[in-house]
Amino acid sequence: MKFRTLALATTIGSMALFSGCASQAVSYGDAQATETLTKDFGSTDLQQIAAKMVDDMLAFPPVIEMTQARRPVLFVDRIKNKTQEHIDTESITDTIQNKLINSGKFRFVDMTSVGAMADQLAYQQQSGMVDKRTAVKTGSQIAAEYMLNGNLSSIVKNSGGKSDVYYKFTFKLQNLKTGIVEWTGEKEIRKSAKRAAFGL
Amino acid sequence: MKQRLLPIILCSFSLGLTACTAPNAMRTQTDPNTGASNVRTMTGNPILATRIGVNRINMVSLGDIKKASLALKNGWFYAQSFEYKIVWFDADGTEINPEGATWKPITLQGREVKTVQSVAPNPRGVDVLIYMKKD
Repeated sequence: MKFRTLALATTIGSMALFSGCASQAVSYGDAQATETLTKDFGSTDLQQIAAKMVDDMLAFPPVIEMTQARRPVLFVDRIKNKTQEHIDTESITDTIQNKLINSGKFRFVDMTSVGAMADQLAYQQQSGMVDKRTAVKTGSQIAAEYMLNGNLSSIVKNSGGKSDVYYKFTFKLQNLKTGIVEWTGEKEIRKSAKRAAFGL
Repeated sequence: MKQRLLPIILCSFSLGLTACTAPNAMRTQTDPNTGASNVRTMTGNPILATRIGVNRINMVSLGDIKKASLALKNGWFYAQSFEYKIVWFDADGTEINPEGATWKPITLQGREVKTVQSVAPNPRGVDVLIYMKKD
């Protein structure tokens, strides 16, 4: 009797254990929490870079002066990814652009949507499908006065079970009329990882 | 007697664990009429409060945008790694961009004072709240 009870309990216990292994636990996390899963470029790095660049730019005296009476028009060129990783640098510039627009200090023209806008305007003007009285008149877009672009580079070193990665992000604001670099910002990030002696 | 002691020990242990992860906070409150600013401390983690604190808060105006400089101090003699988050509020006490403030990692060497800065997301930002936590 005792043996049968024990066998049954063991079987049920094993089944519960195995079904636990097979199930997948999904939960929502805090998107603003620090992420240290691997030493590769991650969400915390992106957020830190964007926050530092925007804070530095808004705090720079000539930029404060430039934005006191009006909202200059900018465009984002691109971030050159000089690291060995695949990094979506457009995501960094999108976050920076979002913060700058929401600061109420700048306006942007989006060069990534120029093709789509041109197609829509051509459709309105030339297709014969759109009432000409409601079609958008071309030639009134506002030109950008300043350009934002930058570089992301990294130095990676490995030794034994230890590895170290250093990221350097540089960003600059250039006057399109004069060619003068009005402001530059820099953010450095160092991350270290150590391989665990035990574990999978 | 032993049976009575066990729940007390378990409760103390769980309280201790909660205290380890709870953040501490410090908030400025600016009077809209006088412009005078008060600082209010909220201690959710007394253990962390003995190690890390905000030494001083300076608020400066950059045109119509405010910048807060907060000097964080490590009260211990060895390095402390922790995280902080700075949140901005408008004059009505409403948080600006509630999902925008990110936790940032920081390491302070023994007895080191390090200044962290934050610029208000827009001209409406007048007060800051800094959270500090250590997992």
